[in-house]
Amino acid sequence: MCIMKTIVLITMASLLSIAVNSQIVQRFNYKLMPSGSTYTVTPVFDQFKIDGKKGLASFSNDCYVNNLFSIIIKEVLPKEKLSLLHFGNTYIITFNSNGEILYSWFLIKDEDKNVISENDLYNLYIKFKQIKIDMSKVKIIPGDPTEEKLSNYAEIFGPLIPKDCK
Amino acid sequence: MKNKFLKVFILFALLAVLIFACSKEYDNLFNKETIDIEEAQAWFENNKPTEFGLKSINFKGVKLNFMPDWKYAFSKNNKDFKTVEMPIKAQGRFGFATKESKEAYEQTKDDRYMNSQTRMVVLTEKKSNNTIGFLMTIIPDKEYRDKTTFGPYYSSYRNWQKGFSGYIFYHTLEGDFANGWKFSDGKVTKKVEQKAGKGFNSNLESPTCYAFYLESWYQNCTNWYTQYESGDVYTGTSCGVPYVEFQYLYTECEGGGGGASYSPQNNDPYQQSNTPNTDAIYRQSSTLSLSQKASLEIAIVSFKNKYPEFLSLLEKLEANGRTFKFKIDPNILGLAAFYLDGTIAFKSEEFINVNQLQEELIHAYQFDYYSYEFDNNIRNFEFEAKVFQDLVCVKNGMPCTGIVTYNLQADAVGNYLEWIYNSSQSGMINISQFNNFCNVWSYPNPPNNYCDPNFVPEILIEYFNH
Repeated sequence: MCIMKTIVLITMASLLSIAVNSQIVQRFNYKLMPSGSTYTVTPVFDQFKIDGKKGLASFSNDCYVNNLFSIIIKEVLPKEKLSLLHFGNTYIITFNSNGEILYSWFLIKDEDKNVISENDLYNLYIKFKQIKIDMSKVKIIPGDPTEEKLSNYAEIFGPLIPKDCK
Repeated sequence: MKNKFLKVFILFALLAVLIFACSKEYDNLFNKETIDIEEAQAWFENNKPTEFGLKSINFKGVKLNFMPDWKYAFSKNNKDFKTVEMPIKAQGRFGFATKESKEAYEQTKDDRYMNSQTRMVVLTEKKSNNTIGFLMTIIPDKEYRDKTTFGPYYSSYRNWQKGFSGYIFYHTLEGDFANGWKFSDGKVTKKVEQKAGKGFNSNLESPTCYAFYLESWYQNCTNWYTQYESGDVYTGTSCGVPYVEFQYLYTECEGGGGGASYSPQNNDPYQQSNTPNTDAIYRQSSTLSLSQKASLEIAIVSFKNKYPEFLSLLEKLEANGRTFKFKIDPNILGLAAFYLDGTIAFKSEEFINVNQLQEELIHAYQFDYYSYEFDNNIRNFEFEAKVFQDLVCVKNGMPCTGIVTYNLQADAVGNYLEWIYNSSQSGMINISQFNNFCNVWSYPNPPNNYCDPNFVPEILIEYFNH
């Protein structure tokens, strides 16, 4: 009886573990880059599919953009975690001409993979997507000199270690 | 006999000295430094107001338009500034005269009593290289006209004719009265302000200010042309009856001294530039309007404040005496461009901002640094300028616009960003990686160009290797 109980408990624990792991695997795809020191981390629950013409972001107020993302990073990642992070952890976001965040992915240093959990990244992702950029402070301009057509979306990248900016 | 010879000799000697002295004065006044005059002409062409004339005197509602007469331009060189002066051509005759001069005219009918002389002055302050333009009018009083036998116009800006008595008035190029000075026997005795309106208002007087009128006159002139089959031929000019009755009120206030400068709002013009940062690198041949220049000033200040590396770069350009011809050119490829002759062009005023300016100033620094090689490796230089912007942004911990990643294939973006962050942190620019990324960077300008795999990005090394 006791053996049976143990088997059932182990089986349940294994199943739970598999379930948890499979949930994590479903959220983000980690791909080690050729350098062996950084992962590209892309969401598997949200595929990057954007129609239109890509342009280049242009900030009229750098601090506005910095603070927009820094506030969220500070909300999601506690100070203790932030203090452990290494230089080079990066967010990359794609936004459209309405200021809506369409997509986000990350570069995570190998040594920080266990500091920033998938749950943290998921929360960052969700909160980033709730942002609406004030497009009076950010413009989308043609990305190269030969481009005449109006662009619909652009990218911004920045550090996951927030910086105060006034 | 011997005494007579001596007297004649002394007479000739005195005459020669006099002639020499006069010719020296004349030469001094009419020094024709061609370069200065050409620069002044270029400045005027780029800065001339839409309406160039006098509007602060209302010649019966007639708009009096001017043109500078460059044929008679002359230059002067002072310790602090240099000037180019020239008479102006007007659509008609006009002048200012004091009450006493007008009375003398009415008695003698000699219209030389009613004349004044208005010139355009283009002044460049040497320290800041700031250039301004204004109108200067010499209005001699009756006694000085008599004393000089109607030769009272040998003054130039802040270099006043000996014993000058009368008024010096300054107007902006748009025609607004700026300020004026009253002279007595070669000394500035009072400053003059304009009070609008014909009527006398006792409020205009104070214990130290006194109202006075000047006569302003205007004579409308018409050019006549006869139409022939071969075209119109100029056949003469006729002028109407002088219109002399207008009296315009000014006040003269205690307070003279100084050099009787052009000074709108009674301030020192040399301290008044609203665009000191722009002035430091602004070539006189630039063609920006005042509002465009103000936008450029904001862009330059933003550039200086954005990152320490940008400030350092601009300081080095300034230390090299670098100046630029700034202009708007709607036909350029892209939103801003740097040309090897030192021109920085913006597609429109909208794009005079730090984001556009920063890359062009980096190109200018590259051009100074690499010199003759610049033309051969355009794509390498373009790439280096863009990587510079990414590196400086990353190094300062700020969000960046992905100026390089825009032209990278999606699968190369992560590798590039990792390289940028690693380079910034390690303080080591890997040259072969730089060139590898340049090679896969699909930038279309100029087309058919390629990245030299042996290029050494020395400016990145200078700024980011440690």
